[in-house]
Amino acid sequence: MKVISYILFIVLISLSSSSLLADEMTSQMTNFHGLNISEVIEKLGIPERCETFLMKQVVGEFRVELLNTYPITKRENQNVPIKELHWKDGNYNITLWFHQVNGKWVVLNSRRWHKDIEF
Amino acid sequence: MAHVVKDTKWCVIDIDTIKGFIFFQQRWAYHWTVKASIPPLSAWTYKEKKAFHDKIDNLLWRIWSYRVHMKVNGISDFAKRFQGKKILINLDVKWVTKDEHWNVEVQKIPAGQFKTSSVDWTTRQIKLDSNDTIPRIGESMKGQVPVAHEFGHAIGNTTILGRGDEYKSTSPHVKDFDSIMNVGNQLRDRHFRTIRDELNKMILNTTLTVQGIT
Repeated sequence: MKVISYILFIVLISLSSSSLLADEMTSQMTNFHGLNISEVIEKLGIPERCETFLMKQVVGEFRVELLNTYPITKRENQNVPIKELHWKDGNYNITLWFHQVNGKWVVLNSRRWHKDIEF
Repeated sequence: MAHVVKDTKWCVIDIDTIKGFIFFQQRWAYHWTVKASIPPLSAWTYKEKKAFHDKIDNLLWRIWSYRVHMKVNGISDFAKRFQGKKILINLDVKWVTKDEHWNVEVQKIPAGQFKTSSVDWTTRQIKLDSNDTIPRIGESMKGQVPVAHEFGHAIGNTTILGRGDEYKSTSPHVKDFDSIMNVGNQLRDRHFRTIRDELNKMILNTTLTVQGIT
């Protein structure tokens, strides 16, 4: 009886877990945060694409988390430059955002997401 | 045949062939989570959950509903009855705990913080956060309400169908900043293509097309 109860418990746990949304479709790569461009290229290779923009030009949901560090309601943040580098990783895309710290470009935020995800 | 109803994987559509009216609804099953923060955030209360859903309901009503009018052509009784008349669409989201079209994770995050929200058309999953009913303000933000943009993806504005985010540099509509699938809040004819395609499978000899947006 105890064995059956245990099995039922395990089944219930697995069912309740499967109802949660899959996190792996979009995630951050926090182990890259703080690395400089050379260190990143060493790990990921040459990026497919690179864009540079100012914080006041941040558009769309995709880049919105940059505002947590540089809210553009503060005037001094509006002209902060950001570099956005993109890689492909099979069915996934990787984007790393860099800001300048002591003259070096270091990773501020990151996103790895399945190609079918919309933001 | 007063009502012609189709329940798909992603929505239910009800065409009232007597009144000439379309009701579009998605059933959303919410999954409420809380971001680990210092100081810690409290768990979602029922009152907070209801307030969040009610805001979504009101925003979608204001931004998406009764804004597009369609015209009908064809030789069906319905098409003949409403030839030359405006047919409106009410778009709605219903909070359910079963038989959902979409699973929607809503994460509570600190006030004033930003979290990237997303939509997965293939698995019908949406990720929102507790600040997604607040308009985005800023030089390049155009006052967009995030949940209204994400709803746009959930009604078929997805790259999988060749019609995804318009703020991307690769989009032909990248300069249309006022568009809701870019960074604005305005609807465009093209945002209803997936719904239109679904509608046009529902009544034989009947073709609905977007006539205009108000």
